Amino acid sequence: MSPSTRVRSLRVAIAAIVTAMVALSLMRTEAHKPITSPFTFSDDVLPIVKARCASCHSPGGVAPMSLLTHADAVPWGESIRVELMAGHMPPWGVDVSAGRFRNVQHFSAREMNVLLTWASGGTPAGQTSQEPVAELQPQWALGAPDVTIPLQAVQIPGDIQERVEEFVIPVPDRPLRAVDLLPGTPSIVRRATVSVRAVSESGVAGLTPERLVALWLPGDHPVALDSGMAFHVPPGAQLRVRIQYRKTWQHERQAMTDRTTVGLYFADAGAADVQVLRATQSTGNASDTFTTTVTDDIRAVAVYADPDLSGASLAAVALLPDGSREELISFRPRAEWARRYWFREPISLPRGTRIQVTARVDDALLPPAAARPLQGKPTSFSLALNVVSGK
Amino acid sequence: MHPDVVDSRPGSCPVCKMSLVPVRLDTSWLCPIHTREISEKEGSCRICGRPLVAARVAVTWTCAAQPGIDRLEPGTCPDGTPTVQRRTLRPHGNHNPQHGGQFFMAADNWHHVEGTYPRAGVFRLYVYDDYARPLAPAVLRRVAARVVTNERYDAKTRTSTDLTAFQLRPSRDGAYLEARVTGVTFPAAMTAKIKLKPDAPEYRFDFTFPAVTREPVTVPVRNAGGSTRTTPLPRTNPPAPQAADTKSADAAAAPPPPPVTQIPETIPEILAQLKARDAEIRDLIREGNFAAVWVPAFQAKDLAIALEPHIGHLAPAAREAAEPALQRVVRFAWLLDSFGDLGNRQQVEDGYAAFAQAMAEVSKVFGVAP
Repeated sequence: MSPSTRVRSLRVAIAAIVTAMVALSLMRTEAHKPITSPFTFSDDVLPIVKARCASCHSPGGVAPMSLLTHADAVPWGESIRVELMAGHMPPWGVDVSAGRFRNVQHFSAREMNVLLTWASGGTPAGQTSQEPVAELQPQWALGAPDVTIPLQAVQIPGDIQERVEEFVIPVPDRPLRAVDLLPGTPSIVRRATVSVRAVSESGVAGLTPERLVALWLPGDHPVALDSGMAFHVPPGAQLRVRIQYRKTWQHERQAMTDRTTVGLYFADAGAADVQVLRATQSTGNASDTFTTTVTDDIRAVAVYADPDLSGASLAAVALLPDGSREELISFRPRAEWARRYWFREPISLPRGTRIQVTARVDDALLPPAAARPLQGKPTSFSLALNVVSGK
Repeated sequence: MHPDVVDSRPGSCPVCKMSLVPVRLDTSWLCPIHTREISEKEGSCRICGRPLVAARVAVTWTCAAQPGIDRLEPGTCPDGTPTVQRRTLRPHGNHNPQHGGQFFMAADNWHHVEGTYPRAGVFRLYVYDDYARPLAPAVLRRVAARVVTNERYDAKTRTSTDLTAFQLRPSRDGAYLEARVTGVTFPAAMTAKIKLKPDAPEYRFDFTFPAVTREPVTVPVRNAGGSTRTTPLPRTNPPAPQAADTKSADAAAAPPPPPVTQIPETIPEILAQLKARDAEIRDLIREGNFAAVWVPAFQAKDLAIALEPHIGHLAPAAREAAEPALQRVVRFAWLLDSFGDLGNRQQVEDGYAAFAQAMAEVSKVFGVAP
């Protein structure tokens, strides 16, 4: 065999091997479509998504994906399944007694089952609509604010994925019943805190004035204080607005700009100041129980965890002097979704009541692919109870 | 309806008789939860950073301007542009044991294992891919595994320490891993601890064998082309009926039917049914029959959903607590189904504890002591 013949033979052999490898790797076979869900996107899933999820999962929303069309939702089927089973969505986090809070976010039993069945059973479409889906247009959920303060524009270059910006703004010397934000570019405004920067602090023993005015989350329904209550703003104070910006994967490497507006809602003069009672424990343990004692007659109006706490469950109970007990909350805080939970009705806690908090490092109930807390195990637990004085 | 039924020729599904449709299969890499992004290479998810896992995908060609176009071959679009390749994740579905043992899925959603106890003192482990096909012998030989018959669990740290363990070694033909174990009596409880790759996490699978397992009988199945092939009769998950109990190969090849839940009319009757399902789940977990837990769990969720229209009849305080409690029964039923597939006793027991708490809450708010 001549050298050129050998080369040709070798080429033919290599071509045959490559062809066989391609044929094996892209094996054409026969199978059929695995639809087991009796629920379809158009008839069953979309109405739930519109009612419960669209404030974030819309075009232009802060979520990494819109879920308002079948084509948009299908690729996220497994993600939807895992997040629902993990209890991560909607990002509410309260385990039991959710009914005692305002603006509860959760699915009904039927809705949960429809979504999980659809996501697990082939994600069937139903009658798909060709109508375009409108971009998210944020509104002031509490109505027009008394005062609006546009913040400075923030530019996030293409090579920056996440950034925290802090703004300090002057604020009128008037008590506040709420502060809300209206993002200029909702898709990147991930969360924010608004607090009062006071010159000096004062308060009764164990209680301090509440300076954290808002724990803002996208898609959330802010709560304005009832008449007769207010966040105190001392003379000369300023508002500190801390905004976390984050681009989703859809905006990777894109330069983005935002100009958020702060909305102030004033309370009547003479309203009772909202104060905070904290229970805190440093820990190296998987679980801890700790208490703090109420030193005056108070009414509890809201509760929240340390905004940076994740990977734990907290349960707070009020042990009243008469021997009775009142369960306040049982929840799993997540730093990504730190929020304040407002009681529907204030809870009277007489002097001498002990607030007992049981905290447990816990992520055992997450399905295998669910996101774990990124910060590692917590080293301290903290619970804050917002109260006003009086019975 | 049955994505695990794949044939090299056109025909009909041997399970449900529907016509097979053509599909071109390939292996790709994707995030375990963000399945939108399918990569042809190993790597990490650009959304959340998790390592990508291998998955079976269907390959088709589409057009950028008309994503509704879905062809089995590359070509040209109506607007003259070339078609672009699309890779779509295909679900797997066959969780039937092939050797009469207990069958679980690994947490990577790709590998599956089946443990058998073919005779006293012998534990075997079969390892499969996402379509329940055995791993190639060369791949199986790279799996590091042991079977643990005695261990100490530390509830505080939620970790366990092996006290008695036996190395699992490949069989001569590379079909399975095997270990000789001592000191085990029926019901034989043992835990396989497996690293599928040197850098992979260790998975645990808790097996309980009430008796020696038996290979299923095989029967001939006529395929669409008229020829015959031999198909083992899969066992429905334990306790397994013997193959002789099953009337036809088609029936045996079908996945277990979804549980049919008879919904009683009154609240006390529904609550009684819920209590019975709860007891069934508890018994199944105690027996180590994790793969069967989904049946009473799903029946319980259907019963919980049936209670929802009755919430309006409750006192205001009970009404507030009822809705989240019912939702939690549904959520934890699904979680138990997921944990049952994975075969990790601690996970299943944690899931059951949450499920039982939600059930107790439901009983409480509907006025019946749990």
